Amino acid sequence: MQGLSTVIKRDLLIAYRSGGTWLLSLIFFCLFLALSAIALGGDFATLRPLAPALIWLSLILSLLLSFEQLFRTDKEDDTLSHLKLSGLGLSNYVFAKCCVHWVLSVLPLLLCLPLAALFFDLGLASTAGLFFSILIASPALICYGAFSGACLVSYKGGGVLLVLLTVPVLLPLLIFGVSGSIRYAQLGLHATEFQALAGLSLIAIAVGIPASAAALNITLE
Amino acid sequence: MDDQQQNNTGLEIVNLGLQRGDTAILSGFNLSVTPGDMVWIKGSNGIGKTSFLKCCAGLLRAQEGNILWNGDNILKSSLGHAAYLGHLDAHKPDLTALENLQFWQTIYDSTKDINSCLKQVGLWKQKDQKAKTLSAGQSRRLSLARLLLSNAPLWILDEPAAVMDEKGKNLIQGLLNNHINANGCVLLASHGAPVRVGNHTRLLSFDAGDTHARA
Amino acid sequence: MISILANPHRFLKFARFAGPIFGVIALMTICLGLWLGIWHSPEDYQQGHSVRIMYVHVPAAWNAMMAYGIMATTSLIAFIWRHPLADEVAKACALPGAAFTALALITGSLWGKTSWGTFWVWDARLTSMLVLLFLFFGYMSIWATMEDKKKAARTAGLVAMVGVINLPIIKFSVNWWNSLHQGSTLSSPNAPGLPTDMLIPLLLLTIGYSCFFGWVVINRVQNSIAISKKQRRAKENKAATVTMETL
Repeated sequence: MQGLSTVIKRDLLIAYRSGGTWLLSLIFFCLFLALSAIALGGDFATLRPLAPALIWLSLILSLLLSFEQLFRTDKEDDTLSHLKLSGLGLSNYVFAKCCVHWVLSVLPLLLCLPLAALFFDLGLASTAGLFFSILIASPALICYGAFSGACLVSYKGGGVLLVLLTVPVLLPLLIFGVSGSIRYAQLGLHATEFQALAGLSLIAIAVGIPASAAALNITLE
Repeated sequence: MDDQQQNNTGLEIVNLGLQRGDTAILSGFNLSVTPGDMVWIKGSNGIGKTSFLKCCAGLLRAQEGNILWNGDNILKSSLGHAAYLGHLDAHKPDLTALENLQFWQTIYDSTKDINSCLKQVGLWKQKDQKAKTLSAGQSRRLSLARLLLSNAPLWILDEPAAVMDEKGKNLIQGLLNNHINANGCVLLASHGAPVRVGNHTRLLSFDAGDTHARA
Repeated sequence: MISILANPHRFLKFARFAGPIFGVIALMTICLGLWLGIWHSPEDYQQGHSVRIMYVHVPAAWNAMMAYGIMATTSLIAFIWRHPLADEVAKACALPGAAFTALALITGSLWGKTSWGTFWVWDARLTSMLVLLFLFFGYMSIWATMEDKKKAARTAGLVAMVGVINLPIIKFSVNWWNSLHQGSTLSSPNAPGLPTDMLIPLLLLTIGYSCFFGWVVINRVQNSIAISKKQRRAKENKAATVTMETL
């Protein structure tokens, strides 16, 4: 438990000193939304029904871009070997990394949702629907992204392959996420989509974290 | 605690067969390293010293044979038997020397005093410098401090003196002496001249087998 | 060393007679199935002759999913027992599996052209086939990009296993999404409700496809065993000799 929190503390400190590079995925998120709004003509009447899908897409894309680096530095400077020898357990390490990543990439996006809502002139209900669907689905997004990042940790060929690996398993999240954020207005959190998202997140945690640890183990062997 | 003392056989390598890719490194290799033992490993570049050391640490999986620590297979996770010093220093460049050590102290669950470790390796003045501003030799000294911090009884050192000056080499010698006298074990690969440490020092020389292709 | 060699040996022995048997059965059942399907099965009352695409499409889709299942199962075996041959089998499944998926997609869109009037509709079956194709591509890309083949095998195995856990979830979510957005699409006839003279060619072709798949996999594994044997022979060296002296 202590090892876990110290990894979290270390990574937050490193991110704090990195000069804000973790903000890049947030900037990408806003940029993508602005571009889509412009490409679609900028008329709120057309944009409003498309907003949940666009926001979900930009969320997934901006997150996917960040997973490539998730384990990269620890692998390249051999910290992973030392962590493996220390007896901390790579699953604990992966879990800590996922927590940090959630704080650094999902949390800022959630906090910026009102801004995104402004771009599309969304009401309170739609924004809240998006907020809850992203919040509930985010563990699954992070865990599957971490798995792909762990599989490709020693591959330096760019993020396209990571997108190919991750997107198929993220499809259910996209489907339930978009639909959930729309139906929130009528049903609130009682919509089936939210239960489905919660279930998917639980499965993703149970599958993604041990699988990521196993993938990291393979690259060390 | 009693259990550990009864079963304090150290590192036992039984019938080890090790390959790297398709290249054979060792086959049918046996070695026993008991507490207080020092083993120097010599051999030309590319012969597989690093792979062998990684294998002893539990970082590489051998194709055949077993490596046991006090009777337990080292591939069992969270054994914590070995501290490894490889070619890379594994410091986070944006953290200070002290912060790097504090991180490993918690990870190792070590009760040892960071300040005395830093003083021992001669980095006390640089403790608040970021790791990226340390020189190669200083960075290596920080790795040595991490080694001191760990509770692991087995030290596995791969060319620890590679970037060190004379003083640094003497420092390593002193640390090895202390560790062996405290009943630790050391496996060390080096191109330098091996020196007797403690009562039981051995030299392993790896020589190339015949490398031409068999028909 | 013996355990590594012995199993491929046994496999090669098995492959020498099983390969041709699979091949012959595949050829016979596919020919018979196509003949029955094209000339001796009834037209659909709604879709007419175009329903015969089903005999090519449905077995391809079933076999594609089966290929992914076998790939994941053999990956699991390889992952737990570190059986190198199982990795080879998993690897060999990927390409024919992807080919079946592509065939299912192509015939599906041709079928769509005749019954919906467009080549592509976001129908649940086609969509999940498309996702399956991406899953196959992801698996194959791991093999293609990782240089260390042992690591590639284990990583690709993990990808296949995570994929197979998600496959039913993807299928379910796509079906659910489809029912939400599309209303009722034209459904292809369900196997149990089919008349016998449609069911027989369908089953024959499914068996034929499976045997063809088995034949391809066996051949691919034989091939890769031969290649790795050649490489091993070229690189074989003696291990280092270790001398020990006490200082």
